Amino acid sequence: MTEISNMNFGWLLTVVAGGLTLVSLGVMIIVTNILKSFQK
Amino acid sequence: MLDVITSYDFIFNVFGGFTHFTWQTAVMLIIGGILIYLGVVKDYEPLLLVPIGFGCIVANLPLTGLIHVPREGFVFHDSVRDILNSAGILPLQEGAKLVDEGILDVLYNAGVGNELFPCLLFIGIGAMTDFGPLLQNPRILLLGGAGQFGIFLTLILALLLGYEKLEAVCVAIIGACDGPTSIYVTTKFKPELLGPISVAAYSYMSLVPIIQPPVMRLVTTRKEREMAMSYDVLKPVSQTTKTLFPIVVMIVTLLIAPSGAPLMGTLMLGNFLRECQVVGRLVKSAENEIASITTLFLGLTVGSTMNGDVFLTAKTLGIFALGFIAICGDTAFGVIGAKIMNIFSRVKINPLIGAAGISAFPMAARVVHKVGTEANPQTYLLMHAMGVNTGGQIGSVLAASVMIAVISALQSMGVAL
Repeated sequence: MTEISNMNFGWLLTVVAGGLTLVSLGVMIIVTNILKSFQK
Repeated sequence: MLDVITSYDFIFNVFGGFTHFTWQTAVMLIIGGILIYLGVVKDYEPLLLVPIGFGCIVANLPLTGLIHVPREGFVFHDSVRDILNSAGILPLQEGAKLVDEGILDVLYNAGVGNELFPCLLFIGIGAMTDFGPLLQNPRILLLGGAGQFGIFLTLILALLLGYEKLEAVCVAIIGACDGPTSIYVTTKFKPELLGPISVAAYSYMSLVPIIQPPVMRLVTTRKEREMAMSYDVLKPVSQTTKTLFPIVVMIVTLLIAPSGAPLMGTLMLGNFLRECQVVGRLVKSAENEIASITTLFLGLTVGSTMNGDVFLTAKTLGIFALGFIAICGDTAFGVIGAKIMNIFSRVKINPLIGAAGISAFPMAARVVHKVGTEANPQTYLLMHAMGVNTGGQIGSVLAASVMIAVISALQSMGVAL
């Protein structure tokens, strides 16, 4: 079993999960704008 | 005969309700009573707090045997296992107590332990949510992400305070300000903390109108709060866009965080049913019958997990304190996110609407509108805040999904958590 310290786990989760959340929302905004562009 | 009925054991067992009554029982009955009071008298999230409070009271009364899970050390009677146990073929674990399954054990195993109830609730939430205001101004989705950063702040604080890794994740998720998400994540990683975490989550959600305004005022200037927002930027959205949006969101999210499928999949299913406009009966059922039945069963079962032995600890106090920080942090990060967005954007927004990014739909949006109107009676922020608020719903489910995906990835790599 690989060990990871509590704080490393916290920072890892913060950076990766926080980053991925914002990236996903960014992709959603782009796709939604593309969807909206078809309605014009 | 007289010897039997006057013996200590006989009296102890016949009047077990009294003889097994402990100080923990008394405190839990009071806590259950307070939850019912908050729901009935103060109208704070009554749909959840009333069944939770009732479940807490009924399950803490001595010897009712209604629920044994999620505590470990109990094995339910099962005819096949009993026979194998008697024959010595499949002996029970040492120290395990053989008990009859209580009715709340059945409910727990049917819908909480396997995370089904929160997902059913999400179908109803999806069916009730109109993403129209969000689609009219999609960039405010980012505020739904900014409003989740209280989760990560709380995660770090909980780890600094000595909580175990997965405990810290469950405590931090209170910051999602979304009851079903908190229940889902806690059941997945630390089911023994279900009681305190769900009570903290629902209590703080109901206290959003009290908690948020001071934080919003603290991180904004009066001039910022007075800013009026134009409705010209909100262009009408076609029904096709509204119908395709849940499918697009689901695909994007699940490609990035596949383990979030139960949460995002059910939320978007509910919304798709609503927007496709051809399954009115299913939408009605999702909004009413399914959501109501699930809420009742979920509340009752979650309340019954609030066992005195587990609930009355310093850890519970810590959970409540950290949950409070999480919601304050979410509010502050949402507002700061809006300020940052203003730096890069030509069309400025009132930073207050960032506070609606915490989920807690639709209460957070109403609070934003109220604080904005107090600063400038000419401003009308409600529809903008509603858009951010629905973005917060997506953001909270997304943040939880991504956290689950990262933790699952670590676990599959053999990292000890």
